[in-house]
Amino acid sequence: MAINRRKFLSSILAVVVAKYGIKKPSLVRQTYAIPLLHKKKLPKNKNNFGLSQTKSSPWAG
Amino acid sequence: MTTLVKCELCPRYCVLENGQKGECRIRVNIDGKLYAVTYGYPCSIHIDPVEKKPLYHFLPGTPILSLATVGCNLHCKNCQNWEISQAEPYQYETEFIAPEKITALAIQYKSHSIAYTYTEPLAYYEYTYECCKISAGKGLKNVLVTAGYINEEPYKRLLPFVHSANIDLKGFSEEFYRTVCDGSLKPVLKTLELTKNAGVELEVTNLVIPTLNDKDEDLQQLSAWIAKNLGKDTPLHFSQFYPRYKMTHLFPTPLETLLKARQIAQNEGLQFVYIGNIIHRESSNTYCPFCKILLIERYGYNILQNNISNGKCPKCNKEIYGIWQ
Repeated sequence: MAINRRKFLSSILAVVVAKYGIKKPSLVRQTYAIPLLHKKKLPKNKNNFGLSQTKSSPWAG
Repeated sequence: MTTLVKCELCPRYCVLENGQKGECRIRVNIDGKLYAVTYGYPCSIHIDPVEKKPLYHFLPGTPILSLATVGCNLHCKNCQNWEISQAEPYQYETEFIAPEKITALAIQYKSHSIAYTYTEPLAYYEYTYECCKISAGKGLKNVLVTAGYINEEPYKRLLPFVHSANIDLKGFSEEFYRTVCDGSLKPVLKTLELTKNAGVELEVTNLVIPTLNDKDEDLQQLSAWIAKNLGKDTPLHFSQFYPRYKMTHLFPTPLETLLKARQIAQNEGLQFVYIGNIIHRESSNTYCPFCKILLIERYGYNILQNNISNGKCPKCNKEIYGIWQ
């Protein structure tokens, strides 16, 4: 009887996982992210809004 | 054990290992949770004329508070704002500005509307959402200037707080989106339809890039799709390309190409077709699609005359698409 190549490789992998404790990482699905609030230094060059700014580009947008 | 996070905000569906950031650079897996690292930290904030967005059918001649954080989920080789859209969050030193403060700034500077623009407001989604929700509650109007690369569910959640949008339709082939923008066309078309169907005042911009998306058939197909799926009253802006970022080897779009694009779109029945990023007076004016009289005369971002009365043409009394007051 021909050896089922896929089954054979799976069984080898199962032995390796069992012996060395390799685990599949868990996967979390997230659409919305949590705001990460962190302190930052105030910039040296401030505009009216108190921000360091890139210039508004001359192009539309 | 490692926890991978799959970000389902946009069609990229980035799967992130601990400490890894998404393609947008601003959504990060920290210990198995997805964080928005630029929330509350705009890198740019200005008062612009609303015509700069470009919006030609939304409160003409008014100032609009415009802001952005760094980051974008597309990587267009021609990006005009690549210094911030393709930046890492740590490259810009910023100060925390809470969404309530954004609303207060708009009111303080006598801006009746707020634009989430410059980079990609749908990448800094949570900040956009909170700002929109709070400012709408205070009677302000919200504007998205976006590439529209987002999944349906989060976009539908945001739309009730949005009054107007200018969405980039960057080209009309999957190949263009794949090779130039590192994205895909289909989700953008879906976003355009969702926006129009939600009753948001929608304008579309197409940046015409020489040799890449300026063929007659490209322009014709794009215009025909808009006319059929969004309506002939949808304003369309053909913008002039300037050599920027990874496309400094191309020349700026010739005026003739933009005028040709405008003619093609008008032939497809579109009623309001403009050209932008270039001064050309006749093609930046708004004319009544019914009786053809001049409604709004513009010069650059300035309004020279606005004859629209209560959202209608003063001569034939037909309603003109837009938000006028």
